[in-house]
Amino acid sequence: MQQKVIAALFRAFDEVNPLLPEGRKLEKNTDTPILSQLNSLGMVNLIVAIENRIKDRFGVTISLTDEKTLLSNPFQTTTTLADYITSLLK
Amino acid sequence: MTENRQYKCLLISDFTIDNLAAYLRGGSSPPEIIPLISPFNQVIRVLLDNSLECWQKNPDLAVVWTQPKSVIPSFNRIMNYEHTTEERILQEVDEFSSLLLTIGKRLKYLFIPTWILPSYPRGTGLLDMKSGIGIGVTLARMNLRLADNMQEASNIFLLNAQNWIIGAGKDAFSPKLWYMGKIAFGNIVFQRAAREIKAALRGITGKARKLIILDLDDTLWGGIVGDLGWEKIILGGHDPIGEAYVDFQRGLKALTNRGILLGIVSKNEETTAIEAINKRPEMFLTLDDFAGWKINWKDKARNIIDLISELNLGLDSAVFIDDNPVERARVKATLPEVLVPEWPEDPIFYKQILLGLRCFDAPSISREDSSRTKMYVSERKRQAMEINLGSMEKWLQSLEITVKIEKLSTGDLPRTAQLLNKTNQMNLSTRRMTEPELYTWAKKPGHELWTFRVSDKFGDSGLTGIISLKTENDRGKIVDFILSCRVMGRGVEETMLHTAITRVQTLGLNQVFAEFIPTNRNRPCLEFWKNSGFAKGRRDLSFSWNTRSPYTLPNWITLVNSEVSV
Repeated sequence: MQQKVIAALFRAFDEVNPLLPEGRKLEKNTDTPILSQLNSLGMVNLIVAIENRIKDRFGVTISLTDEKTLLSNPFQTTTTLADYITSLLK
Repeated sequence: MTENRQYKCLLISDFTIDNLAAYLRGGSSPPEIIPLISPFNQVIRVLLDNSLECWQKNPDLAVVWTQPKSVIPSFNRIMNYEHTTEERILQEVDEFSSLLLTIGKRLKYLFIPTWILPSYPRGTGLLDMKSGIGIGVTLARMNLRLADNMQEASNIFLLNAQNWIIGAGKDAFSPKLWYMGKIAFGNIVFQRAAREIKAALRGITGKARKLIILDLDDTLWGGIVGDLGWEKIILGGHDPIGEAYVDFQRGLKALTNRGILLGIVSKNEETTAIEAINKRPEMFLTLDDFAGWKINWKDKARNIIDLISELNLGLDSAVFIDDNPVERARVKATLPEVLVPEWPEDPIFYKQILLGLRCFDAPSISREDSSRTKMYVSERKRQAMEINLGSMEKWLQSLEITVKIEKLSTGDLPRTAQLLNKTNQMNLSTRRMTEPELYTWAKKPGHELWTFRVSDKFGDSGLTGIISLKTENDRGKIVDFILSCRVMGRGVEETMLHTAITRVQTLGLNQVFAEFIPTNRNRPCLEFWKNSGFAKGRRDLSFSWNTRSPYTLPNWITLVNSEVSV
């Protein structure tokens, strides 16, 4: 499951990277830092892209802007985010 | 050089438009755009106040993308099912339009995406298209009024944003993007908008593609004609695939009415292929729909080069369509300037892909555009006659060429601007100007612009030449010397020089001079000037003529002219 989530995250990275300036693009690695890499507009774009890709891939609507997400602070790296989304899908 | 310039584009919007800016900045397709973002949600202030910082960077163009509820306050009343009148709403559209027309005068180009609404509110249901209350009908009328108001401004273009929304499907809008970032549309909409804006700029600046080169077997019809014979190729009939091929041909024919030329490059026996085109009754395209063809067993890349040079076009004006991925890859690798779209395996999708190509956009369609193929077919017949007649002069005499010379009029302005902006080869200075810029230039004291219409016994080539003059002290400078490649080499060039010298003499000036500005496409023009009889000046790039000597008009040309020597 986690590998499929990571694949969905990488698709979301592909979608958002054209919007990010050089040097701020998200690399498709498991240890890619996310939060420190993006400004607020970049975060909004990424969150919506991830929610859409998860919906496409798993047919499930998740929210990455609710209180639970904010408390869990999952946007450190690709892996921490994938772990969090996997927990939501289980 | 004017080919690879950058455009500074000011984005004026009432929502966060940074994502459009990113798509305009990025991507590999030309032209290069440097986006400038105006202050957030201050549309009216930005339109009114040209002292704002965003205007100080001298943008070349602007995109004004607004939501109807924010710039047309009365539309909000309709949205809230409150009473208002259509008259009031349209008056507000007129007021907004006058602001757009004002900033249009400061810019080379202004693009305005049409007003759209998110697809999730279902409007007023049964009443949505009812005058006075319907949201849908009101929005449609607002867009029509806006289009009407912009009609006369030749540098302002409305872009149909509804197409971007339809193409984006369910991802067109995202409430989360709106509430968290004030981003009005999904990113796929901005992506499409950026592509359309770039395509529009390419079209306006003469970079649109002009020629579609087609393969035959499994592209224009189904099957291999050399194996099956013309009677058994798949085309038309009560068969979905046969119908799809005919419909694809219909789409191609429609493009010829927009001035796009068709050509054939096919590995076949020429007689077999031509027989199929002529004899198969379901062929929607006839031989006279093709400007030229190369049907043989040679390498297709070689044939494409030969066909394009025969038609006097550049490689970057062509699109190559072939069902065979190997042939596509070969042309892509050897001729990177030629656009080779990915082509579906299933003919059912041919027309859809053809009509989705963004490379044919043009800012206007002239009479000359809609009959362009006819002109090339006439040219083919002329060439055939040239081969028969042998002597060049005898051939030119036999053409019965007439040249009509007129001073620039407002009626001819769109075609003249089109010729100025699209002509690359026979172009002395390759100036690019919008219609208002050109007209203003031509009307300045000491400036004159003459247009040349060429016809012969095979047909009318239309307005195909421009010469512009500027008085400098006691000399007349030829600023523009432009001739369409369709009529090159028939003495029209000499006729234009004869006209310029006669005119300058009439004005009482002693000398005519011209300065050639090289680009990587206008070498044919330099070759003509070098052999024109004009005295060569600095680095063989400037030319002069003493007006005491007349410049001989070719004896096979008949002039129709009322004003030049007045």
